Amino acid sequence: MDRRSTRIAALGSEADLRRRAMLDRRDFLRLGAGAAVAVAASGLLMDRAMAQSPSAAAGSPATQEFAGTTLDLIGLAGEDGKVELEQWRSDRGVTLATSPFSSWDETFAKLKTDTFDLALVANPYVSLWGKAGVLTPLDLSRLTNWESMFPALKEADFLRDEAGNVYAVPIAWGDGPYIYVPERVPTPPTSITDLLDPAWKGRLVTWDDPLLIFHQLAVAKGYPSPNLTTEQLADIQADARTIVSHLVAFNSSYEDATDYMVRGEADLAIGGWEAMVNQAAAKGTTLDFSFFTEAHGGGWSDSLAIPTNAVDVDAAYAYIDAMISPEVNAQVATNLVSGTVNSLSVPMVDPSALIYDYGIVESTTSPIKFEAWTPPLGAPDGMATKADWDAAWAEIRAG
Amino acid sequence: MTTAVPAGGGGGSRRRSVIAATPLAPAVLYFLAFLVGPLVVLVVFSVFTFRDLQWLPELTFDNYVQALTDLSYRAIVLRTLGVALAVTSIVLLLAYPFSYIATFVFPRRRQVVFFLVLVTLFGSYLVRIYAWRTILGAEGVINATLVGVGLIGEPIRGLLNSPLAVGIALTNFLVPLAVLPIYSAMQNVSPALLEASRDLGAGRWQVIRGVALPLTMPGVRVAAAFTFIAAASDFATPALLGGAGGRMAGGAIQREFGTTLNWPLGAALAITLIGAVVLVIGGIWWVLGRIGR
Repeated sequence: MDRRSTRIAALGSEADLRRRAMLDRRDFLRLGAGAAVAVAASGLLMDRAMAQSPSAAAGSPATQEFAGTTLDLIGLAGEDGKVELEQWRSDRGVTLATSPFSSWDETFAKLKTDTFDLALVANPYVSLWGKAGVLTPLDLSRLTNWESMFPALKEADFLRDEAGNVYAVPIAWGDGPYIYVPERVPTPPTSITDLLDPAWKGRLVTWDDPLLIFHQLAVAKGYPSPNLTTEQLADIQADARTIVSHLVAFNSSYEDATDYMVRGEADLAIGGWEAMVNQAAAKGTTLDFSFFTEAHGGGWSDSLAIPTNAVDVDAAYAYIDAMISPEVNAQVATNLVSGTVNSLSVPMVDPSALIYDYGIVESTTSPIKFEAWTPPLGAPDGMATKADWDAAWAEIRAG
Repeated sequence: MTTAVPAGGGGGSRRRSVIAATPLAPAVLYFLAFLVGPLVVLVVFSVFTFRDLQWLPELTFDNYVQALTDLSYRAIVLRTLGVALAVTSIVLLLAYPFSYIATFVFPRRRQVVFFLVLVTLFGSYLVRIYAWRTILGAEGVINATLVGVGLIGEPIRGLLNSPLAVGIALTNFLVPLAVLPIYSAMQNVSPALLEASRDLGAGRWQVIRGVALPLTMPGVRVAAAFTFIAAASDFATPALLGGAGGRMAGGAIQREFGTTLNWPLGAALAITLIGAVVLVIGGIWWVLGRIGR
């Protein structure tokens, strides 16, 4: 027999080949079990990898007060202390697991259904969510850095319910600019009502949320937002419908709004952030910011809160206290290009991030009030509730 | 001659049926847990009351009344069904000829062609949406080409952030989905039947209309259902490509669940949309059945 025939004979008949090529049932079950174990193990490994582990070179044994603790935080990347509190976590044996969200509004649903130790909450939502029972009233005596916080933030109404319970601690703040393309907007508007001009058609982007638009229009008309009558709401709705008809699209993030202007598809973003100027500059586009007259009633402030179903409450308090400490909060403000909340932090903030007027937060009578713009959940007849605002916006969005 | 049935033969037959059906148990459990179960939860939520950001087990049909009678929601559902119907029609008009050509005109290449169609389904859905933003945008491929060759002086702004963009993207995404069942149905059509009809004097269109289409109608119906359901329930494509005007049902439902937190109303809207989709699909199947006779 030649060599080729010998090899073929050694392989066996075609039936043998086919049988060997096919998995028998036992092999299939073995493979399947192995695959299932591998998938489960990789899932566990991935879960642990996504958590921020303490560095291998752990800090002094004397400060490992929360050794083995994992803090589950729902919040925005960059505002979770991942970078700023890395050493702090290492010293105390804390692991941080951040769950990102795509909008403030989805956070509420997740807080109701999942367990978190910390939650990042925007100023329109703090007292609302506190009243809804998803946030814990805070014991401020456990926050050693609370007293050095700027007065306008420390005393802000948006942190409290009617009984005076404080539900969150500010970690950053900003004012409420709009961002525009100076090359295509030589004369920036001064009032949100300027955007009712048909010349703005197809040139605007903003958030898919009624709070900002309705609130600013209400202020422009002299209405006591957010406590409006149904007639006032209907009046505002008509103007809001005009502004929405001038929109190119609703942006899903600050970066998204920046990209619309960088691509030349929009000229102005309502509800912007100064950091967008830097984002656009990195892409070769010049943006600028300015303020509507009405926006000086609409600063923003993001706060850390402890959900009612938090597990590691002690570690959560310590984490918040660390976030508002002078050195750490100066770093937060630098990294976010936001205002620092601690009056002792200002000298430590990088000059490139000192773009805000700190007179805003040094007094409780400042022109920018970090208000809770959310309308009341319940109201007497004739007054508009949150449900009425949502329904009015749904009508606008229905086209 | 009758055959006597042994005593207890009926019980034995039933036992054999149970034993034969046992391997189906995992699939049935999976179906119950991950399809029926969530639907039941949705139905239960839809009759809850929403008050002060709380979901209260105070049973009510007010959510369905609002979903069916509120003019804004009615407009949204009708718009959604209209867009989905238009997209389904265009998709079928593209997918059927493609499948026919792949099966009968290039029979030796059909597996390659089929694989190329499948490959488009492997990509991330979100990446493909953003790809269309790049193509249709003011500085996108189309506008850059038209401006570059001098056909237009300024970019066409209405390509993106418009219902047109939503229709184009959905059609692009769903044609491969429609090709799958139609192509599968065509594998069961013997080319000999088509050849025989041609031998008997049928023209090309008669062959397709009178022979191929009736035999492949089950696949066409499945393709229509897949496409319509996917188009009617999509919310990412309208959100990212549709601009600020004309919200669709998926976006409205997402807003109730994620923004206004009115889960009972969101559930009622979802159930209403399911019912409307089922009715429309029934209508589509009836029409296709008439066409396929």
